[in-house]
Parts: sequence; C-alpha cells; structure tokens
Amino acid sequence: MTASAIFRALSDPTRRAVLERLAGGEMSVSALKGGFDVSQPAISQHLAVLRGAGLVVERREGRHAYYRVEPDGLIPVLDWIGRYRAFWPSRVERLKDLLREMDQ
Amino acid sequence: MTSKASENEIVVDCELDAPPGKVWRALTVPELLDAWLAPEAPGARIDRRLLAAEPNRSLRYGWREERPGETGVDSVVTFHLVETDRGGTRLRIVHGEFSITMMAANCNIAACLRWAA
Repeated sequence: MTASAIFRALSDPTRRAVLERLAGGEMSVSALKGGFDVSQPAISQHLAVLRGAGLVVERREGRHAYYRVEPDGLIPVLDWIGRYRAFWPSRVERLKDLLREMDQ
Repeated sequence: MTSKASENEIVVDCELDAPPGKVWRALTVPELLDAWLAPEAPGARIDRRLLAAEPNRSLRYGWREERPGETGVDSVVTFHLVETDRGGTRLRIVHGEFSITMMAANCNIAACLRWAA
C-alpha cells in the first residue's frame, strides 16, 4: 500500500470519522451506520475504500460483516513522513555547501 | 539546526552564513535548486510548482516526489527567510499540507497515528 492511497482514503471526512469510530473496537456495518447521517450503502462504500487502502479489515460471520482497524495500516504514512524528516536536515547541509560555492 | 515533525508537518530551522538575497537565489534558480534538492533515489523525480513568492522573504512550492512504482503524495514546502544581525539568514522550512484535505480541522489524525504506533 502506498502513502498516497492512504492519504487519499483519509481525505474524506466521513471516512476519517468511520475510522475513528472503529478505533474503539470491531463493529458491524449497521452498528456503524447508527452514528452517521448517510445510507448503509454509502457506509459500505466508504468501508470498501478504507479496506482498499489497507486501513480496515473485514470479518464475515454468516450474512454479517464486521470491521476493525488494521493496526499496521498507517505504517506507509509514517514511513513517508520519516523519510522527509531525514531528508530536510541532510539537504540543508548541501544547501550550506552550495552557498559557499556560489558567487555573491 | 533543529527539526521536528508533528502529525501534519515537518519543520526545520537553520542559520545560514549568507544574506537572504543569496539564499533566495539558491531557492529560486532551477539549476541551483537542483544542486541541493535533486532526489537521490534511482528514477525518482520531484515536481515543484511555485505557488507564492515574496522576494527574499518567503516562498511556497507545491511538492510531489514520484518514485518508480509509487504514486507521489501532494504536499507543500514553504521557505521563510529572515536576515540575522550578522548579515546571515535564518531559514525555516515547513513541509506539510500532505494531500491538503487530510489537514481538515476535524481530522483526528493524531489518533490515527497512535493506533499505528
């Protein structure tokens, strides 16, 4: 999963809210729907996007589907932020070298 | 130099032994920018798009790094320049606005990040 797919999945406020509710524990679609002013198919659609981004996992039990947060789902985003956290200080050193080489 | 990263932005502060006008050139002339910012990863390239500029003071670039097999993340890099008493430049680099909408006020991304910790 790429950081950009996760950022995209998180760009929707309803999906962020769904994810936050699921952080409290596994829930069925109908239980989840209770907290939102949107239809069950819409919630299912959001869950499909979150699943596609690796942020939630589905468990099926008979006709019912339950969803929970995938704990490792945000690791690509953390990796991405970590990459740039290291990137800028190292590039500042190069900028200093460049400034020494440049003419006034 | 100090750096910190919160859930939604990375901030780096440093002091440079060059006046703002010279630092400004290193931040705006494409060949000079490439000299210190070109990506190292094989096949990677960075899309920089100038969003706003206040000469010798601040610059905003739309920033997107593309690597092979990986879609880039849209973000914004802002440079702030302040002249120091000694004629140098205090430079602050802020890298944030990752995919913009994620930063919406109601996004409790801190909570999301805690789950992943």
